[in-house]
Amino acid sequence: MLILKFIFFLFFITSFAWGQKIVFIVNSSNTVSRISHDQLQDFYFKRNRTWPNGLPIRFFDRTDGSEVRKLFLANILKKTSRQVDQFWIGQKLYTGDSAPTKVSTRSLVISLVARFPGGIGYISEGSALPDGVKVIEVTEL
Amino acid sequence: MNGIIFIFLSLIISSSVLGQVTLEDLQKRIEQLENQQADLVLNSSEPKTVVNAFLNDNLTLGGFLEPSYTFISGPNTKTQYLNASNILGLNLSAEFGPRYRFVSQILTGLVINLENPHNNPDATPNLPHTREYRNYFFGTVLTQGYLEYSHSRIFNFQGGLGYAPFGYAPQQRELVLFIRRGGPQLLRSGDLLAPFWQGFHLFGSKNMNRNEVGYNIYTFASPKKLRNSGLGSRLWISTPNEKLEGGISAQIGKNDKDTYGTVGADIKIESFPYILKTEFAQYISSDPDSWTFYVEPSVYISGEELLLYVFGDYVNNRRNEVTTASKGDPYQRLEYGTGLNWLPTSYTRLRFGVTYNDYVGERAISSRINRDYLSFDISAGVAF
Repeated sequence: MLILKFIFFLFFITSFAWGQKIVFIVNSSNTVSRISHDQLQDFYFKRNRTWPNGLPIRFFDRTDGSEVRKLFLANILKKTSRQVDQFWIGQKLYTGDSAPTKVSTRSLVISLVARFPGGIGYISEGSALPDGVKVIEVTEL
Repeated sequence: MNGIIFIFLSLIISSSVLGQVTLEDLQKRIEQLENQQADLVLNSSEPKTVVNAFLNDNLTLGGFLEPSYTFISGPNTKTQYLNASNILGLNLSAEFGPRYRFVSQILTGLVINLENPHNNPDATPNLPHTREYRNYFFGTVLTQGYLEYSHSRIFNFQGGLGYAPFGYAPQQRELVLFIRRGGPQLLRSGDLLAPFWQGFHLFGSKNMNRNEVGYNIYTFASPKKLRNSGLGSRLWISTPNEKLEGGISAQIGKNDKDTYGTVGADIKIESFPYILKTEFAQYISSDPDSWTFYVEPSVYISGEELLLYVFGDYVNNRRNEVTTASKGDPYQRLEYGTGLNWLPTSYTRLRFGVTYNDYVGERAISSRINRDYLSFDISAGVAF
């Protein structure tokens, strides 16, 4: 019985990990409700620095090695962590630009996006969000 | 017995109640700390390294260090081995809101100069008879310093000084991370092209059918006639995820005699683990043309930690001069070799490279002096 429970527990944990998705959140005051992969790339790589309403974009990344960041790199940026690091090194030397702020926890991302009108970040799909942030739809194109 | 049970139950209940209270306090405390952390993040600029300037604006600091150890030897080149170069680059930048930015870069270093680098015996008496690392050179130079106004993605304006966007390598995005120390001959062949834009720089890009298409237009100081500004431009395209990037570039300016033009093309193809870079540039004027071309394929092995490369790099430089004697010294040189880069982290690069410098053509041997030589480089690049 104990072994069955243990197996069930393992199955639950691993299926949760495999099924984990990320969602993108913005400040509640932001009128944007949908964004494409290309636009997310443009925001992250600072090719586009303002929202359509003129608000400056503040992108909040996650710390290296976190599961959500791995998903973000693989599914949205389609680059490895090393490739992204080297891109930002080049940008720093040529344009003075720096990589987006890296944030360690889900709750801190939510807190930052809620406080910064142009903020955008990503978190694992999960429980309901507090006031101040909303999830936006992400499309392939 | 009943008393013992009662005491035991009391302990369990009180500890669980105390635990609940403690847990709530902890959660509140965590929220407080996270709010403080959020305040700190919002009040600071994005990079971790922040310097507070007297203007009360935050400057961001970054840069690189590149030391190198070099060995050279050849039929008419003395065997020499030394720490030839130590260069520190410092980048200071600041954002004054979403549309205005200040960027600067200073290079400083202690270098031992390779004098008479092409083994020209006519370079005497001011230079050694054959190439030789002889004297220290140290100095500081401003390589970037501009104010940028960003109107939109398609229109951005910079005023000041920066690396000329002619091709890929001259942009110096990989100054410390070139897989070959010093980069291609395109960067080391005198005045074939102006390395900096000076004055004004307009640039922008647009997404078209998922490809990024961009332009640059800039002014520069013509290397041989500094008092007259030249005009440069580049058109480029990049496919999704930068798998393929390419561009065409041009500079038009004045030299001693007439108007000249330098044209070029560049392609970079990247499909992990393979990378291929190739560039071409040609200097066109009333004098015989000079041109240069390189191909540099590389492959990652062992994940992304080891990068193996080979290269072929040719230059036909008819404009070269022995500067101390103002004598023409045209040459044709084919550099080829291989090397390995070890990247223990994204910010460090340790290189070992072997290059054979093969002078070809009618001036391969000058006054019975063979110009060829072999070099080994061990160098490091650290970005911060």
